[in-house]
Amino acid sequence: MSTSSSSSKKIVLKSADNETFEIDEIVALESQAIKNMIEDECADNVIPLGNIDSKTLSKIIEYCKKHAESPKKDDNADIDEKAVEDLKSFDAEFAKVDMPLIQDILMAANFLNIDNLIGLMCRTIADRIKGKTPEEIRKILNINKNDLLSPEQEAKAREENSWAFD
Amino acid sequence: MIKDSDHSIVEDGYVPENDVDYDYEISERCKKRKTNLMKKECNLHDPLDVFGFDIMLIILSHLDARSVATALLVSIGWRSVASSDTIWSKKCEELWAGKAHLPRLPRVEGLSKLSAFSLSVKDGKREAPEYWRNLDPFWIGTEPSMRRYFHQDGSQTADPGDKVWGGHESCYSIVTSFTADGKMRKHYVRINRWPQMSICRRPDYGWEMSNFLYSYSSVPDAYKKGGTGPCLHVL
Repeated sequence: MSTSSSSSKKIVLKSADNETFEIDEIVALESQAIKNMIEDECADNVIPLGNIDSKTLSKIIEYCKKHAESPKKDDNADIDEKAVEDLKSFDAEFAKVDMPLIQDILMAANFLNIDNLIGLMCRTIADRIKGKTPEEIRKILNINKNDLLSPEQEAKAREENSWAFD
Repeated sequence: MIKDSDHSIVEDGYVPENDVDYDYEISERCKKRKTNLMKKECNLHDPLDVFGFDIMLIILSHLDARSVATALLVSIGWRSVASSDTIWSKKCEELWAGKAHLPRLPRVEGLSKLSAFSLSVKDGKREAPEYWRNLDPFWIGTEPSMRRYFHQDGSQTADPGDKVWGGHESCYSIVTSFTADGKMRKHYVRINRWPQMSICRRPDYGWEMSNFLYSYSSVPDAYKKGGTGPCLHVL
């Protein structure tokens, strides 16, 4: 299954709450930031991630494991469609978490520079606000109420783009 | 001495630790829902504040046009992201793809892509001019439908009092043509027939369009009374 064997190099990640996770190097390489650290040889055996808690980190590792195991698009022109479908349904299941965790994952993915995961979380947030009213969106994402449009500004925006609000 | 040691026990935090355990248990068993809710409120932030403009742009790029327009109303900060040309130039491209007619105004340079999109949608919903809509009174429900009669001898007439036909003499023919491989190229009913016209340029740079019945020519002085007016810039 996995391209890595038990003898492959291991990396240890340490979360903000001091939990350690030992993973195959190939899994850690899904993160561009960790990849750079390893290539520049500035990574010790243990990489401390002081701004990522263990709950978020274990989700991130779950994601990277799955994606590291799956065949890459540029490796092989004819990857079988089943693998692509499998990865798609994994992503869909992976995204079924509450909004605070989505934000934590996005924050961590942004820090670790994991492009696919940033994309997946952005898409997930978009899906949650699609077709909702402004008030519903404010509730879903806990938008700061000090930054609202004045009634005049709102009326102007509604009038200029009336096609979207009828 | 005894008092001091008592005090040190408290300072070691034994009692408070007990308190924490107790609280934890209550929240675990009885208030699980409530704590989750509270946790959400504490940990959830406006993604624009937390992730900034660029990530917010990626999020909104995944939305359909209507939802992006709704995002304009969420807050002042969101409005600046949701009105960005990055999002709307792609929406304009999608909207304009395959359209037979595009109004010129939205394509003016310097106009924001959001305005261009909105103007295009508005133009697309514009109704036909009144003249067209009133051409047949049947369309607006004031008169019964107009009728045309196609006779064996090739003539065509209408009911008496039909204002559109106006009692003009008409004839019709059925036009059919084929391509080289035998497939039908066109097949339609032609009402009346106007002898083909030819166009030529006059020595004074004017135009003439004529057949053996009629001759049309451009007006030499466009600005004189009843002239054609200023030239329109033709692209």
